[in-house]
Formats: sequence, C-alpha cells, structure tokens
Amino acid sequence: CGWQPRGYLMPPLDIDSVRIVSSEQHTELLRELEQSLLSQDIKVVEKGAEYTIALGDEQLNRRTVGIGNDSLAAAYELTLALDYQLRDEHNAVIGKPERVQVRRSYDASDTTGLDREQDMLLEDMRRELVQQIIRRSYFVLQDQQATQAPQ
Amino acid sequence: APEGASHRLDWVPLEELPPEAVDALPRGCCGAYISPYQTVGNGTGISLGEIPIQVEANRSSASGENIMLLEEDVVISQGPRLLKTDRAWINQTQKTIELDGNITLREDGLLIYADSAKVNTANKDANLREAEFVLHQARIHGEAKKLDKFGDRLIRLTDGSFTTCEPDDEFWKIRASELEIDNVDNMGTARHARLEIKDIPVLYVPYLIFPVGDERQSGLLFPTFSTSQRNGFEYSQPIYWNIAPQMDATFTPTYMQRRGMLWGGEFRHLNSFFETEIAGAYLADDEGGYDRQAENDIATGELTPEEAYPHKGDERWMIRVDQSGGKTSRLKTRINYTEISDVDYLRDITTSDIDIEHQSNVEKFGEISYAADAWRLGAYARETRYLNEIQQKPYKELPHVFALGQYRLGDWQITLDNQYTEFDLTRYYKRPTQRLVVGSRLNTDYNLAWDKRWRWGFVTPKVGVKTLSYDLQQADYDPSGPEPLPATNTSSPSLVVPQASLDMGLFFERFGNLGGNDYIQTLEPRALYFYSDYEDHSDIYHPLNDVNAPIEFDARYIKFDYNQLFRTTRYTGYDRIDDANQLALGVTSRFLSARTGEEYFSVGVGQIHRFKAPKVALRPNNQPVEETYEWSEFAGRVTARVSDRFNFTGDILYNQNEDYMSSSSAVLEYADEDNRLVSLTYRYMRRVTDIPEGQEPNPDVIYDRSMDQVDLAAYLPVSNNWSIMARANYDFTFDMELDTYAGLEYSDCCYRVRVMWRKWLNFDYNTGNTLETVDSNDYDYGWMVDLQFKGLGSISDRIGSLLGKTVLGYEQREDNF
Amino acid sequence: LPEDREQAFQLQADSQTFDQKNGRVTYSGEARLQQGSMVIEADTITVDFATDNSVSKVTALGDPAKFQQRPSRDRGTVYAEGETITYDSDNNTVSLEQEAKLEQDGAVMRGFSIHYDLTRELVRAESDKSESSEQQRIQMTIPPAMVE
Repeated sequence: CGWQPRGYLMPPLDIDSVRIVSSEQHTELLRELEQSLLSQDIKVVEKGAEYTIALGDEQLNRRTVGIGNDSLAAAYELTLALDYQLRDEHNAVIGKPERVQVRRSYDASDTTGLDREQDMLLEDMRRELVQQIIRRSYFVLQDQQATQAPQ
Repeated sequence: APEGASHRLDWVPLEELPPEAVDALPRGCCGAYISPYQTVGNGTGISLGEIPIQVEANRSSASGENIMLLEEDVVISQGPRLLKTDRAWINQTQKTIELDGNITLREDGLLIYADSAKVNTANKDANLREAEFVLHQARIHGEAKKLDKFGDRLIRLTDGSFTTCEPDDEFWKIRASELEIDNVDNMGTARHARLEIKDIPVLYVPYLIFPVGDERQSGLLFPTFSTSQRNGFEYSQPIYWNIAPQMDATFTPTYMQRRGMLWGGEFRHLNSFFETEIAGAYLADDEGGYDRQAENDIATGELTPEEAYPHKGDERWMIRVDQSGGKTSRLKTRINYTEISDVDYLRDITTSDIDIEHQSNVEKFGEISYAADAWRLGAYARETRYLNEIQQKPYKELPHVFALGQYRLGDWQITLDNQYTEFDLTRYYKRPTQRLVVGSRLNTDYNLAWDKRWRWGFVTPKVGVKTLSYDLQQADYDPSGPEPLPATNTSSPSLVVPQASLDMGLFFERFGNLGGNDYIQTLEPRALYFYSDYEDHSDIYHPLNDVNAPIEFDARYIKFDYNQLFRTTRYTGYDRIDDANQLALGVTSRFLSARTGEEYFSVGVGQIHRFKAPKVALRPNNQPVEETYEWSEFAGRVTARVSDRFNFTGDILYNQNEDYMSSSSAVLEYADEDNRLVSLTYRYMRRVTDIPEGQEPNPDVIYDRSMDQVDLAAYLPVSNNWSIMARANYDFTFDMELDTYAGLEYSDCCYRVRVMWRKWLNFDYNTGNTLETVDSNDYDYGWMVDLQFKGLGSISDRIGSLLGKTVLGYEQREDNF
Repeated sequence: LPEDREQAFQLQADSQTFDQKNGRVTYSGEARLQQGSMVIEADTITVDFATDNSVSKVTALGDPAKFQQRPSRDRGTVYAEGETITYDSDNNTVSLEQEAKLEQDGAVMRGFSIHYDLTRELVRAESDKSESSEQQRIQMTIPPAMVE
C-alpha cells in the first residue's frame, strides 16, 4: 500500500554539516540537537556550512491542570516551545520562520522527586522538539532544492 | 482648511489605513497617526547644521546678510525638518529662525502646531508657544502652553496635557505643570500630574514616571479594585518606577478592608549575565480577615476566636527571589527562593496568580553549573515547604553535586553520570523522626551506547552499570519521644546493577491527499528491550536497624502512563535501582505537510511486555499491581494541530487486565484570527479502593476518589470593543465547582476596562478539610475591576495574569498586541 | 566695489542708436556694459544720461539679462538675472523684474521681482501679484556655510 522506508519517497538530501546559531548557549537542547545530528552523520560546524539553523529562546510554561483532595495542585502540564529559522550560506531565511511546540501533562499528587520527574519529562520533550526540527528542516530543504533544481 | 480636526493631526481612521498599518494596530484601535510628510533620507548622521535651508515665500526682504524676513505663506525646509508659518526671521549669525503665526513644524514622527516659535538651524532644538503636538510612533497627542524640543530626544511641555486616545474622543488625559517625553528611552516624567477622565480630574500624582510607545512591560498602572469575602474590599495602587534602562520596580501598596495595609513591591534587573526579579510583600498587623467557616466554628463553640483566626495580629510577609544567569555562557546560575511567614499566607493574602495555580509548595533552590565540552558539572541546594503540612516531606538536599560526562567516538557514545547528595531533615517536617535516617548518597550510571541513525530508522544497543551507595546515620529525633533502636545493619549499604537495552525503530512513509492538500503519512514502529538485574534491596528497606522506614530520600513510584512507555526506570529519584526484563512495543503514525513537514496529526499506541514481574519496590513486597501485569496497561496518545487554530494533545491509559480506564487527559486550545480563545482541559486519574470480597459497600466510605476534572476557559471578543471572559473548572467526582469566573471587557483605542466576578475554593487544608467535606462556606467569591491605559502598558494587571494562567494562548496574544 | 562709480563705462554691442533729445543711447545685439566690477550683459541695454552727461539709469532687457557686481571686498560677487534689469545709479539700486534670480556666496533667491539696495545691502523680493496662472513665488536656498 505504498509504504516506503523514509528517504526513498523523497529525493535524498546530502547535507554533511550544519551551523547552529542560538540566542542561548550551552543548553541541553543544543546538546541534544548536536547529538541527534551527529548520529545522522551531520557535523555541527562553526563556519562553512551550507545551512544554518537559528534558534530562539526555549519557552517553557507550567500550568496546573488538576487539583487534589486538599484543593492544591495535583497535576501539571508542561508546554515547551521554540521559534527557529533555516538560513542558507548567505544568511537568507529559507521558507518561513518556524515554531515547534510540545505539550505533556503529568501527575503531581505525590511530590516526592517531582523535580526529577519533571526533568525526565523535559528531556523527552526536548528530544521530541529536536526530532521535529530535524524532520521539518529536511522537508523544507528538499522542497527548496526541488524548486531550485530546474534552473 | 483641512477637513475635521483628526485629519489635521495626521489621524487616519481604520478604513483608510493601508493593510500593513492595520496589522500593526493594537486591537480595538480605530486608526493611526500617519505623517504625510516622509523625510527623503536626510543622510543620517549629518548634523542639521550642515544641511542647506530651502525657503519659499511671497515676500522677502533681507537687511545685510544676517537677518532675512519672509512673509506670507512661508515654507522653510531643512533636511528632515519642515516649517510653515505666516512670518519668519532667519538669522544666519545666530543660526536661528523665529516664526510667528500659524506655525507647523514637522519632523520624523513628529508634528507640532504653534502660535510662535524659535527654531535652531544648527540642531533640532525648538521652543514653541501655544503648541499642539502629535508623536506618531508613540500614538500620543496633546497640547501645551510652552513646548521645548531638544534635538530628536526630549520634548518638555509646560502646563500641557497628553493622551493616547484618538483625537476628538479623548477618554483620559494626563495634565501636568511639567511633562517630559524622552523619545529614545520611550519614557515620560510628569510633575504635579493630574489624571482626567472625560475632563474630570480623578487622580493627582506629584511625581510620575510612565513609559510611552509600545513598550510592553512597564507602565502607568491605574489602581485595581477587588472584593472577596476573606479580605473584604481591596484597593491596590501600583506605582511604577523606571530606575534605569536595565532596572525598574513597581511598588504596590494594597489596602485590604479586613486585614490592613499590605506593602508590596517588585524589583527587576537585567544585565549581560543575570536576569533578576525580587518580589516581596509585608503586612504589619493582620486584622484576621473573615472566614464563614471560622465564624461557624466560633458560633458552635468548636473553636475559640484565637483558634479560628490564628494569624490575627501577626506579621504576614513573603519574599521571592528569581534569578537566572549565564544565558549564553558556560557558567550558569539559577536561584528560585521563596519564603512565606506562614503556610496560610498564599491562601489569605494574595488572590494573585500564585493562588490560581493552587501552588502546593514553595521552594528554596539555588544552582550553579558549568558546561564544558564533554562534561556538565554543578551543584544545587533545594528545600521545599509544603502548604498542606500533612504533605511535608522530611528531607532537604544540601548540596546535590552532579558531574555528567558524555563522549562520542564515531557512533559510540559513552555516558558517565555521577550524582552525590547530602540529605538532612528539613525544619518544616513536624512529625516524629525516630524511624528516619539521614546521610549522603552517591549514585552513578555509566553506559556505552552505539547511537546510529539512518533516515529509515535507528538501532541503539546500550550496556551499562548503575551503582548506589549510602553513608547513613539516625536522624535527629525528639528526645521526649521513643528512642530509635541502635544500629544493627550496615550504615553504608550499596548496590551495583548491570543494565542493558536495545532500542530499535523504523520510519515508513507514503504519500496521501486529503481534500486537495497532499500530506505524507508516516508509520514508525519502535521496540525497546530493557534488562536490569535484580539486586537485593534489604539494606535499603531496613537502614541501620529493622524498625527504621525504608530509605525514601527522593524516590517515588511513577504512575504508569504514555510518558513511561520507553523509559528505563519506573521510579523518580535514585533510592531504588529497579529490576526489569521487559520489551516495550509502540507504533506512531504522523500526518505531515508534504511541503513543510509540519505535523497535522499524530497517533501513538504502546504497551510493555514483562517477561518477568519486577521485584524491587518502594517498600518490601508491595509492588503496585499495575507493574505485575505481563502486558502493561495499553497507552495511547493523539496530537493534532489544524491550521494553527486547533491544537490538541490527548493521552489515554486503558487497563485491559481489569477492563477499566486508568487515566486520560486532553487539552484543546483554539485560537483564531478574530482572536477568539477557548481552552478545554480534561483530566481523569482513577483512584478507586476496591470493596473487599463478599462485603457490602460501607455507605460512609468514599471508594471512588478519582481525579475527574474539566476546565473550560474562554476569551471571546463579541465586537471590536467588547469581549467576554469566562471559566468553569468543575470536579465530577465530588460534583462541585472549583474555580469559576465571568467577566466583561471594554477595550477602546487608548484604554481597557475589565470587570470580573470570581468564585473560588479557598479552605484550610491544614485542618484535614478535603474536597469531600467542602460546603458553601469553603468558597470565596468577589469582584475585580481594573482599568488600564493602552500605549502606556501595564505590568501586574491581575486579571491579565489570571487570564494568562487559565486561557491558553492568551499571554502570547497579549505579547503581540 | 565702492570705487566702481568713478570708473569709466565701457560698452560694446552689435549696434547702437542715439536719442539726443532724451539723452538716451540704446545698444542692442549682445550688448555688454562694464563699470569697474559691475558688468551687465543683455540683448539690449538702454543708458539714460543725466544733463551733466553722467549715467543716471541703465535698463537691460534680455532672456534673461545678467548683472554682476562685487558689493565690497569681504563679500562675494552678486550675480543677478531677470528679464528686465534696471540699475538706478543715483540710488545705487538694482531691480530685477520677472524670472528674477539673485545669487551671493551660494545663497540663491528666485522670485517674480527682486529689489537690491547695493549701498544698504537690503534685498526685498515680491511674488507675482497678478492673477496669472503660474504664480511665481520667492524661492531661496541658504547654504549652511553662509556663516563665517
């Protein structure tokens, strides 16, 4: 029924290096982004990369979504969002500025070790954000190369 | 003559505005000042003195070279500046132009009419009499007996007034004997300022600083009024003070009818490294407030007035320090310190956003960390105080030191995770501590993984070893109470547990088309096999002696849900190294835009197959039953994002072994271009105590204490000016309202009025009250009114923060208006 | 220059006609009159002589007629143009009528008519009062460097 392994449906894209620019430095999200790219044989370099991913600040928002028997917070919801842009080597924006967002909720009726649980959840959410950024960038770059190819 | 006055002030009504100007318009606004006079690039940087003066007139006469008289319909232009007048004397030697009669002065973003004026041709200074002015960018217009302009930066008005309301519809005006507007800092200062609403003086402020322009974060704050049963009538007057470009503060004295004067303040500071916010509040002598429940208890003699109002006459205060440092540096710091005079402070004093969050605790936390290339090192201290004292946990972490090393050699990744923590009793823990231990703990997690990803999938084998070791001693105890037993077991238990996992995933894609737009559907099966050896935890279950409680410094069982599917631990905290021999299976299907890869819809399901029931538990042989199922509960997640109007995230957990829904949650966020905002949040968490076999249910025992709550909040503009706001937060299990508000907002071009009625749960959880025992006395209700001047921004507008917390997307919408 | 008045008049033209009765000489065809630093060039220049044979008035017509003079040592040369330039020697004034233009030290003034009192260095300009369609107003450019 038409299923193809990813990479065969759309023309492959050979990118070997990417530059990462961010308003924040040395954060866990940037480390996760770099590790994910490295695991797909895409090196993160300072200069000379064909494409640049420009990231804004990580926006984290926590909201109470359930209260317990004592009328105090017993369930939280985390929303992690990030604005980013893809740019070519002349720093011109490719496609439009993008926004990725992930939302998770978790039980907080017993708060022992809750900060550790929130950190674990944040780790998962950052990994999901990074996967979305990489996947969407592939699509945008394929679309861009497809439109440029004929000239 | 120009048509109506508005045209005269460059005011262009909404209908005639070009589209891009309409977008930049704050909501509810009905036009903008558009200067017809666009300076043709005055060669920025050249001082005015170097630009020739072009003159046009009907008559001119010059005596000698230095003074030239121009008469009748005189037009003088000098680079970016344009002057029109009846008569002008151009004095070359003094480099001034004096003007008299029907004067118009135009510069970039500025328009001034005046009767007489003196203008300097070397710089942009000007002194005008009987002036009327417009600042296009700041959307301000006004008039003044005397107007002095200093270059591009400062305008000083003597006996003048200004407003951001549109011309000939001035709802409010600020009149002052002296008024200065700084166009660069976007700040205004006024002396002897009088606020007039519809020309009626309403407020006198001897000295006032206010922002102009669309500076969002600071502003003239009109007082807010609110009422509640507990505090009676409340009037708070925020006073904003912009100390320096990087530093500002807000003082908020609040008069509470049934408590007294609360002196509140907030201080914000920003520099290249730190972003700091310090907030505090102090109530010298609390008059106790009013509590219907307490009044009943006094009436029935259950409590004496002192017991019913424990905080009467006390000092009530709060201090909060929030600081983050090193946003772009390797060295990072974070402080999140809150201290309150007593656990009832947040419930009694503030009806601000803290209590909307039903905050269950306040935290003292400080962290410093350094991110080297391979290592991340740091230390933090944390002590948490619970408002519901029954919930108070015994331990504080002082310090917790961590060192996380990550090396990558080709596709091999080595992780060296080391954490050392000192646990001690916190002074907030009031219960007997004879069976508690304190001490230090070292836990490590070293592992090696082969982390390789292809476009079509990934395979990640990982092997590692976790260690856990303690150095324990008996906690301090109340000498008058029973003696703890002498230590018979080891005081430094330790565990070494080998672990292994194999994480595999494939990505399949196929094209599809739905209603004209083509998408790509993905199919992403994933399998994670996780093995963790079983190690005997008895030394941890029985620290130092057989009577002490099992070590639970920070360990807790995480209730199984979708987040847990692909995790390799079922505990938060590090006091257990759980054994496991399981295979987690899951599949996710996403529907992506073929062009941008944006995810419209995704659905994921998963389950864990346990080859062997796990043995390690928090307490000996009381493993949660869900962990013993061979096939775990069935977890599912759906996310959907349609044309960024709808944004939905939903989880479910179905227990097919017992055939019931264990938990489910859903969040729907709706936001459209007419900025209607609706957010629906539902949460169900099953908590049912089973009726023992063969027994009749005991009528006065509540078996079902599940959390079953819905929260519907909406902000709906009903016309260009009117909007309604509403929220219903309802608990189905106990069939009761939790927090309800309804409000109306009128928003005009330059002001916004909001009135809101709110009813919320507010009872003393420290006396054993729970949702089951709630009656009508446990609710507080009241009104909130706030008036806000647009263009002058506003900080702590309480209704705004209330909306921001309850209506998703509200804060983001506020940011760009 | 102040001492211009003592200088002799030099005149060239394609042709000249005498009108003894009125004491008037008309030079036409690229006529040029010079007296010291003052130079007038025009299509026709008509010079009226006073009884004592000194020049009382000079009227120049041209498209445009040109006038230049250096009022004093420390001032720049004044250049003027106009369809009709009348130099009144007795009052030492120059009147420029229609398409008048006066330039000195970079300051340029245009208008319908400009009257320049050379001794008191007073300039008066008028716009066209007549209801003619193209109302010609005074225009002037004052360079920043005017000030010494």
